[in-house]
Amino acid sequence: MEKWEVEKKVMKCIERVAQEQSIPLKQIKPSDRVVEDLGFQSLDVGTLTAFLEMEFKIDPFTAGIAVVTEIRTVQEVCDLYFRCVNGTTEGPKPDAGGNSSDERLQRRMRQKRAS
Amino acid sequence: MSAVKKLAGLSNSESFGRYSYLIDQLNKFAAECPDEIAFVSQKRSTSWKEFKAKVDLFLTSLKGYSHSRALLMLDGRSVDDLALLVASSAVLKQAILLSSFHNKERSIEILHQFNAHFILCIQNGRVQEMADNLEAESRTIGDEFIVGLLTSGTTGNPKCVQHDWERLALAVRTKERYRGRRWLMGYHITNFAGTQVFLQCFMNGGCMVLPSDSPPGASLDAEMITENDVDYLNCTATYARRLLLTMPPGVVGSLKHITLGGEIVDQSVIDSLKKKFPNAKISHIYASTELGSSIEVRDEREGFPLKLIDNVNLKIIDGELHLRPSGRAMIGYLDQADGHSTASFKLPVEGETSWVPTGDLIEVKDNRALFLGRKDLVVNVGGFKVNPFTVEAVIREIDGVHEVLITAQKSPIVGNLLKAVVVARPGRDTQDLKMQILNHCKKRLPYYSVPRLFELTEQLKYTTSNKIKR
Repeated sequence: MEKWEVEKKVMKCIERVAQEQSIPLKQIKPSDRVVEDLGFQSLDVGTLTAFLEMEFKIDPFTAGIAVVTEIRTVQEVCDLYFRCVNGTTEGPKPDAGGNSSDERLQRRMRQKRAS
Repeated sequence: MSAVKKLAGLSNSESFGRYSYLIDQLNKFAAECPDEIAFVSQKRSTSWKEFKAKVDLFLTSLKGYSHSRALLMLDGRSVDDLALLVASSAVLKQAILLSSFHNKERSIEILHQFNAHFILCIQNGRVQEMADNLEAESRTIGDEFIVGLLTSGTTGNPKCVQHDWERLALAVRTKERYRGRRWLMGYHITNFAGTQVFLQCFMNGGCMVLPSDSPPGASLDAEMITENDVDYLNCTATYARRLLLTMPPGVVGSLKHITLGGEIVDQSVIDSLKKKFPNAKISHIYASTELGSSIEVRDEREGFPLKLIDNVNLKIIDGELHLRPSGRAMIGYLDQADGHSTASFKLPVEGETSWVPTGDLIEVKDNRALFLGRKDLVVNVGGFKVNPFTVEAVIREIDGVHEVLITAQKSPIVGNLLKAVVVARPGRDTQDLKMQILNHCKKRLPYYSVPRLFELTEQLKYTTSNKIKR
C-alpha cells in the first residue's frame, strides 16, 4: 500500500472519531499531537486504534510492535501503520537505545517469517 | 385443594405413591373432562383422555427403571415427551431433565458426569434407551427422589440442581378460574421456569400450547397465540421482543397476562408489550433455578418496590441482592466431587440464616430497586466500571432499535471499549440510527458508558434458555 493511501485512511479514521465524539478539528497537520493538539482523550485514542485495526487489520500495540506512549503525532501514526501494512522498516530512524517501535517491528517480522 | 396443601400432608416415608401427585391430577382431569384439549402443538391437539393413554403406556415401560437415575431427553414441542415427564414423576426415582438440543455425544458426557444409568427418550411413541452407563450399573443411588435441572454451564460443565416435584409445585396457584385456560410455553420444559409454567397449567387443568420451535424462538409463536386464543404467556424479555417483531400489525391477540422472567426486564419491553396487548396485564418474576421464585412485580414498572427489601428474605449488601433461601430453594447440587459417589447431594448453604449472593447488582432510586446487571459482566472501560445492561436499556429507548447487545472489545489503550451490536427495526436507515444511538447515549450516560463501536446485524444469538447469548 502506498504511503499516501495509508495517510488518507488514517486521516479518515481521525476525522471519524472527531465527528462521532464532537471534537472540533481544524486542518490536521502531520506534526499535530493526537492528544495535546487534536484534543483526543484516552477513550478517543482507544477508539481510533480500534478503527485503524478495522481499516488495516492489525493492532500494532497488542501485537507488541509499538508502544502507545511512543506514537504521539499524526505522522508517527501514519508511519507506524505504513510499516505494519507493508512489513518494511521505512520511517523514523531507530533511537540509540535500540528499542524503538521500528526495531520491534523488524524483530516481529523476523519472528513471523521464521515461524 | 391447592398443590401446597396436598403435598404438605404427605409423609416423607411414603414411597412412589408420594410422587403420584401429577398422576392424580391427570386421572382427575381425564375423568372430569376427557375430551377437553390438554395440549396443542403445531401438529395436533391432544385431549386429557389421549394424554392419559400415553402416560399409562409409559408408566408400564418405565417400571424396569424405577430405581435408576436417568436422564430424560425432552423436546419442548412434543406431547409424548411431556407424557414421559409425567410418567417419570411417579415411577423414576431420580430423573434429570436433559433438553433435546444436546447432541448424542454431549448427552453421553453428561450421563457419565452425573453417574446416571440411562438416557431415556421417546422414539416412535415408545420409551427408548438412547444410551446406558455400565460403570453406574453396579452402584446404588441414594434414597432421595429428585428432579434434576441442569444449569446452562457457561463455564463448561453444567451443574445439576436438585429439586423434587414437591418443591417445584410450591409456587403453583390452583384456582377454578384457571381450568381450561391456555398457556403458551415460552421456555423449554427442562428449564426451571419451564417446569413452573408446565405445573401451573397442568395442575389447574389448563391447556398448554406448545411452542413452534425448540428451544422456543417466537418464530411462529405469534400465529400460535392468535390461532389458539392463548390467555397466558410466560417468557423471557428477549423472547417477548422477538415476538413483538413477528406479531402482524393490527393483531391484538387474546393474551390476558404476560409474565416475564429469566432476564432483567426494562421499562421499554413492558411498555411495548402494553401497547401491543392493551388488555393484558404485564408482570415480571425474579427467580433462579437454585433459589426458586422470589419476587413477582405486578405494577408494570421495571425493578421492584423497595419495601420488598425487608432484610428478612431480601437484603442488599454492597449493592448486590442477597436472598435467604426459602422452602422453594433447591435441595442442593448433585455432588460431583466424587463422580461415583452414592451420597449424591449436599446443601448449598449452612444454617438457616445464611444469605446467598445472587450476583445481581441493584441501584435504589425513588423507592424502587432497579437491576443494574450481573456482577460478573461488569466491564472496565478506562478505569470505570460499566454495566452493559444499563447501556442496553438506554439504547432500547430508541424507537428504531429492535434489540441490542453490549459487548466489550479489548483495547490496549483503555482496557475495553464498548461495542453495541444492534438489530434495527425493519425499514430503518441504519447510518442515521447509529448517530441517533450515539447522541441518545451521550445525553443519557456518562461518557465512558457511551459505546464507541457499532455493529449492525440482522439477528443476535440466543441461548437455549431464550436469553441473549453474551
